Amino acid sequence: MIFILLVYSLVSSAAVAQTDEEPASADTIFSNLENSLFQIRIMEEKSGSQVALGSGFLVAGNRVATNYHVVSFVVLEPDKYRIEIDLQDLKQSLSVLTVDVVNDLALLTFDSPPDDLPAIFRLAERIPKKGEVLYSLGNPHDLGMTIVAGNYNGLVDNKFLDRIHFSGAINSGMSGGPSVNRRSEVVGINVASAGNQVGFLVPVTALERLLTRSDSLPEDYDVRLDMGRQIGTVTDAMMDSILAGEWKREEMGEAVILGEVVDWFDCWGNSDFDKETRTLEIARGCNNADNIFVSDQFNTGFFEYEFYYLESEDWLSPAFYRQWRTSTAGARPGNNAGEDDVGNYTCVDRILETRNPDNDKTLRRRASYCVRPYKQLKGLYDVFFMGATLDQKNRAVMDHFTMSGVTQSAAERFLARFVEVVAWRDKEVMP
Amino acid sequence: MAIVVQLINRAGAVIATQKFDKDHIVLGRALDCDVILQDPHVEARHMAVEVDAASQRLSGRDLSTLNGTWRMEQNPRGVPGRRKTRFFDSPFFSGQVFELGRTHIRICSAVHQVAPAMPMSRWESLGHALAHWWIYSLLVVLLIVLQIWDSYLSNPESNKLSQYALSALYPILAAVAYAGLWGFIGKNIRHDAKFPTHLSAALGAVLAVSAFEYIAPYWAFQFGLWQWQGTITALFSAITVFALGVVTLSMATHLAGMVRTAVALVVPVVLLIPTLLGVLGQPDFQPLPPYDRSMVEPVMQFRAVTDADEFLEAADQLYVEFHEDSASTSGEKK
Repeated sequence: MIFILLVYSLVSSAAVAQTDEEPASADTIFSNLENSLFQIRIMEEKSGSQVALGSGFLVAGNRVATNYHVVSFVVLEPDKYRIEIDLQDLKQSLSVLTVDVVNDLALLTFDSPPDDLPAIFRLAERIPKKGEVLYSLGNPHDLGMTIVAGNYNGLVDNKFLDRIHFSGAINSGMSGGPSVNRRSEVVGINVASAGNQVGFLVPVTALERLLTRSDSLPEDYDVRLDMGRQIGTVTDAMMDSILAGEWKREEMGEAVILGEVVDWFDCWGNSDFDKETRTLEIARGCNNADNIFVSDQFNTGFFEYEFYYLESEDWLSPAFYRQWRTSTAGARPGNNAGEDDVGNYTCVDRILETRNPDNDKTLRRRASYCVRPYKQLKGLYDVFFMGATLDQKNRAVMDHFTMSGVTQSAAERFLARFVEVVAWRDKEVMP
Repeated sequence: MAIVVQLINRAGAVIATQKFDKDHIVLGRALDCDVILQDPHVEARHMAVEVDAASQRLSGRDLSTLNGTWRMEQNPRGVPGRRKTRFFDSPFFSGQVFELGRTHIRICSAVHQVAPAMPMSRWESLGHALAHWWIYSLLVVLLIVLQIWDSYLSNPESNKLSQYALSALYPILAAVAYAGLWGFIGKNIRHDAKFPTHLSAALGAVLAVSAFEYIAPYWAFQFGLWQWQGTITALFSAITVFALGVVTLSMATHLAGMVRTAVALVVPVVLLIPTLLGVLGQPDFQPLPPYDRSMVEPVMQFRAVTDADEFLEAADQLYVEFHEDSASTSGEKK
C-alpha cells in the first residue's frame, strides 16, 4: 500500500488539473482531459493498414493505459503488428510494457518518448457512491473523441472478477478509455458493453496494481509467460473457491447431482416430459460468466458443469441406449481456441463404477477425461469430462464439465471430487 | 458337306444355329428360302451361299439387294466390330459374320473348328444353390425383420410398425430391380437370366450390410473402436458390393480374371471415396475432444470396469505425456 501511495505522490505534480475543488461539468472535464486521451491504432506491418482501434490514456510514468484486448494482436504477434497513436499531430509508436490479461488491461510505453507530454490522468482513491455520475471517454466507431455521461452502479453481482456496472453508452472503439468522476479521477477503464446503456468497467484498483507491478519487471520479462502465470493464478483461486464451497447434492430424476457450489456461478435448468414417447428429460448446469479474452479465437477462464437426465418407462433397453448414445455424442468444450493456441485433446476412457456413500448404491458410467495443453501460455490446460451412465435399463444421467485455462493440480483436484458426485438416489431402481 | 448358319446378336452371342446338309442355300424373307429371316430390311431372296464339296470352301453372292449384304470385320474371338465392307460375290472363310438388313448371321462349314469346352465354373454351383425359392424367401423375411427392428430402435414408437414395414420394402424392391436388370443382361449375353440367383445374391448383400451396421455399435463399444466404426462399416459395405459385383458379373457376363475384378471394383471404389477423403483429409487440429461416443445396453456390455482411483491415475498419466512432449519439443529447439 505504501508503494502504491508513493506512485501517486510521484505523479501528482503532473496530474491533470481539477483536484479537490468543485465538481466540473462535462465540457470542462473533456477540455481538461482531451490532450491526454488517445485513439490507439493497431497497424499491420506489411499492408500498413489499421486492423483494430481502441482508446487509451496517459498514466503515471508516462505510460499509456488501455485494454489488453485492444493490443492483443501486438502481444501475440509482435513481428506482424505495431501500435500507433497521434500525439499533437505527430504519429508516435508504442510498445507493450506489461499486461493484466485477467482484468483486460495493458500498459504501453513510447518507443521514443517526446519531451512535452501532456499531463497524466489521476486515479481515484475512493469508490464512488451508487448513482454517482461518471463520464466515459473514448473514440467510438472512429467518430472522434467523445465524452459520455452515465452512472456508477456498483460492482456486477455474482462474478469472480470485479467489473463495475456503468449505466451509459460504451461503444466499440471506446475500449481502453477511462471513465472518470466529476473530479476527473479515473474510476474505471471501459472494457465491454451489453448494449442498452449497460456498460462494464475494470475497477481502477486493477490498474493501480498493474502500475505498481510494472515498476519492478525483471530483465528477462516475457509477457506471454506472465500471462500464463496470471491466468493460472486466477483459475487456481477460482478452483480454491469452488472446492471450499458447499458441494450440496440435489435430486434430478432418480439421480443425485451437484447443485450450485459458489455464488459466482450462473445456474440454470429445464425439464420436458413428452407425452407421446413418455420420455422425461431434465437438464441442469452452472457456469461462470468470467471469460478471459486472449485473442479473437481464444478465450479461457471459463468453467462449467452440466447434468442431463433421460428416462423412458416404455422403451426397450436397446432403443433407449441408441437414443442415449446420440444424446451424449455431441458434447463440446465451453471455450474457443485455435490451432495456434492449444494442442489437440487427448482422452482417457474408462467404464467407471462409483458408490453413493449415503445408500451404498453403485453407479456405472462411461467416463472420459480429455486434456489439451496451451501452446504459448505454458503450464495451462483445457480439461473436459464426460460421464454417461450405462447401468440402468431405461434411465441414465450424464455429467460433464469443462474447465479452461487451469493448472494440472487445479484440474485434478476438481476431477477427483466431481467423479464421486453423481449417484443413484434411494428410491428403488430396477436394474 | 454341309453349311451351318448361326443367328447372332450384336455382342456375338449365338441366338440360333441351323445346319443344312447340302451345298447350296439361300437366305431371305421368302418362305421357300432355306434360312427364313424375320427382318423387314432383308430381301425376299437376299443371299446365296455355296460350299465346295471337295475343298469345303465357302462362297457367297448378294442377290441384287436394296440394302446390300455386308461383311463384318471381326476380332480374333469372332465378335463382329463396327467396320464393314460391301459384299457382292466372292469366297469367304468359315465363321465370317454378315449383316443382312439389321440381322447378323455367321456362316460356317461343317468342318469349322469350335472352341474347346469350358470348365464348369464354381459359380455355377453357387448360383444353383442360391436359386432355391426358400433361400430368397428366407432372406426377404430376415431383411424385413431386421429393418423393422432397426427402425423401431431409432424411433421407438410401436404405432409406427406398419410404416416401418412399408419402408422395409424399399431395399427388397431395390434387390428385385437389381436382379431384373442383371437377369436381362445375362439373358442377352449368356442366354441365362438366373433371376432367382441374382435376387438371392442382392438380398444377401443388403442383409449383410444391414446386419453389419446393426452390430457395429456393439463391437465398437467392446473394443474401443468407435472412432473407426464409420470407416470399418464403409469398408465392409464396399467389400460386400465388390463380392456381389464379382458374383453378378460371373453369372451374367463372360468377363473373367482381372477384367471382371476391375469392373467389380468400380462401384465399391466410388462408395469408398468419401470415406477415404475423410480419413486422408483429416486436419491436424481437432477442436473437439475425441471422447468415447460408443454406448450399448447393459446386457451387451463386456468391458472391464474400473474404480475412481484407477481412473484418476490414468487421467494423471495424460499430463505426463504432455510434459514429455514439451520436453522433447524444447530439446529439438536447442
